[in-house]
Amino acid sequence: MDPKTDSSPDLDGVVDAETIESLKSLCDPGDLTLFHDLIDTFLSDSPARLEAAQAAVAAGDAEGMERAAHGLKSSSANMGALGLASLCKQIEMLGRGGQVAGAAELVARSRSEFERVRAVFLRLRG
Amino acid sequence: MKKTFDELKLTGNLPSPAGVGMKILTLTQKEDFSADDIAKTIQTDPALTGRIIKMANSAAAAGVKVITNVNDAVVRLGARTVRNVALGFSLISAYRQGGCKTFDYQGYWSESLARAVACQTISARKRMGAPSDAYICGLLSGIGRLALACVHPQAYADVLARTTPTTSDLELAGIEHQAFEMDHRELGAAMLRDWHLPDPYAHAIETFAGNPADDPANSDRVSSMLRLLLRVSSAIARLLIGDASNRPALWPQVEVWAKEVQMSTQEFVATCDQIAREWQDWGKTLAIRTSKVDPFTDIAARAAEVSQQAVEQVACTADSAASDDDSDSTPATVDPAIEPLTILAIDDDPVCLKLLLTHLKRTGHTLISAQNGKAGLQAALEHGPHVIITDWMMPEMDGLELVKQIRRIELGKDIHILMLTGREEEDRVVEAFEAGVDDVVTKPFNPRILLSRVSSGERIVRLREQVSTDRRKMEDQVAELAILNRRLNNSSNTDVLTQVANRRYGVAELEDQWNKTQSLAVIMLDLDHFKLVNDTHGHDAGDQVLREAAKVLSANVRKSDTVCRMGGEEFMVILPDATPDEARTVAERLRTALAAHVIRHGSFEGHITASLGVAVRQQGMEHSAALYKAADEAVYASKQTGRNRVSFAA
Repeated sequence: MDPKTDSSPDLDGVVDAETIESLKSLCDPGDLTLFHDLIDTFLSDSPARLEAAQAAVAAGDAEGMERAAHGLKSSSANMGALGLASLCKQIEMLGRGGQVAGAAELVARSRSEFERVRAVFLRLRG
Repeated sequence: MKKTFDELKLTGNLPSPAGVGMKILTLTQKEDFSADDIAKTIQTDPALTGRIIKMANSAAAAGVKVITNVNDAVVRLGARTVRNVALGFSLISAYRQGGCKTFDYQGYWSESLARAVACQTISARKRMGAPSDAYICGLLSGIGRLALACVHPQAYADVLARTTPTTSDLELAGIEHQAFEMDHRELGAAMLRDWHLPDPYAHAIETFAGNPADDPANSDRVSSMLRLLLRVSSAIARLLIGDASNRPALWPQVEVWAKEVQMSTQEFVATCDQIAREWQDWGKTLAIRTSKVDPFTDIAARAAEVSQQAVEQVACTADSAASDDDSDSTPATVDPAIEPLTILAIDDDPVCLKLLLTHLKRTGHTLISAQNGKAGLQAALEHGPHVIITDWMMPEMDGLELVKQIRRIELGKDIHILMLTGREEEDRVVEAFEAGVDDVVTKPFNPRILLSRVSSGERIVRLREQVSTDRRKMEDQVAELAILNRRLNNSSNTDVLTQVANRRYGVAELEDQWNKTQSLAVIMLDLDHFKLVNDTHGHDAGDQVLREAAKVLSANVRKSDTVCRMGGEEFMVILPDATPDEARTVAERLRTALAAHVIRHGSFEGHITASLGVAVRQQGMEHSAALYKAADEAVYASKQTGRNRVSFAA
């Protein structure tokens, strides 16, 4: 395991420590406003995308599903939520292939993964 | 003027419609273009489409069905009008900014737009011609000023430095003539003719700034109507674009036009209110600056109160406007090499956009952002960024479509475009380059790679700027050469002593007019007892007499006439499109004006008279020399019968 993980708050293995470090390093020394701002944006923006993906699955709308998953994939990758990003990528691929049915389970897993990510970020936010 | 215009056109710097506007112009040079062709061409430009549809609806009478597509707009307005409107709008998009430092490009369009809507509104209310014709004529009424700023950016800045906010169009034309041997009115008219716009447009914009008393007698009905509309509209526009506090002081100069367009004060005030609203509305559509305007009843009421202090106020506003100009021009003098670039970042994912902006902030460049392709396109049109960084997959309009649209417009050709691509789009990267992307960066991006890509883009942008600065310098030199040419040309055509045309020019001009028009008249004129002045009072006095005589003649001919000194004390006046009666009237006017003019020089003080001969082109005359000879013989008849008189050729 990456030694940094030990010195960081418990990331539960759902958020990548290295990404978090690089996000923090963007901030001015002693002022984590930007980092907190990024977390807030991510946490407030993502539920709507999950909703959209869920609704698209229910409606059998492959393209809508692909679009919602694509958006969430890139923002979660940027925030270091790699597990979530990988789930989203699988949904996106299914959407591109027009396979909506198989995605229901992946969307459900994304929702619970997002809850874990949220818990970690809220802890980091302090 | 034709020759001068061709020289300027060769510099490649005259304003010309961009993109779709140019396509439509070429398309409609042919006589047999179809309305369908025009509609199809317009549709390739979404912004233009919207504006044309708005035009069709706003030019229509109330209660008529609202138009929602280009085809219907073309049917309602007519193909020719749509073509003219497209031309005007595409000029606005291409010339929002430029190289002349003291020329206020935004202010110029704001004023032109105010003139356009004022022309349209009054034309619609008073049924003076087609409102859309009036609109486009108003919009292009000052195009010669823009053209001079484009062709001679440095020299025109010097010209503008000699003006104040109260300088009239006519005074400006005078200063321009000193600097360029031509003015914006002539140049604008030549450009309109070059674009094959209707001749009355050109005629109206060439003459509207002049004194009504000097209006050419041969104007047709449409030109005269457009000229009147332009006069009213430019007064209203001056009030609208000026400082709000100064509007009451300007109102009396606007109000006097009410009776000229046959409106009661009440109707005129309501019309002005409507014009102000339309101006703001169109300003939004065309992204042109406008300002808030109080109801005109209030402006008129305050005008009555402040009329006493009006003079002082004008002086104050002039001062503050001048100092505003100073502050505006300061940033432009900063070395372009260290001026930050403008970067537009577009991403629908707020996290990604925030990160992008955070990294870019360190570069010190000016940043703008947008959250989807459509907003991105809008921002690009508004700010004209040097670099665009855009995501690919976005709702509304994706990155690929955005890039295609941007590359289609003139302003977008030089923008350096970087596209962020996800791994899954890697196999489609070729498609992105084909759409016009300059570089791609894969997501999630590595900040260091992204920033080095941005700085390599910056290098390209700077290089391109350097190339275009060099080109501009070269074009400046070509334009300077054109001025010099015109000067030389003018001096070889000008009589050094009297500054009117010389014999060489006179003979050539007579031949020109002979080939152009059937109704042509010539007045020959010989000063009486001139030799006596020379012998008694010296050659200095003689020279002064010639100079003043030339001045009196020039001041008393019609605008279209040419005065030339043929040699010694002999002058010729060429009168195109003159009936025998008109020619006689002019000749008689010249005779009395000369006789009434007192000349003082040294020991000489007195009147000078002339013997005049008038000849009008007749059916049987074979060449211009016959006309000239007939007039000359009539002069002889005048001399024989006692001088100081007008004789008609037999």
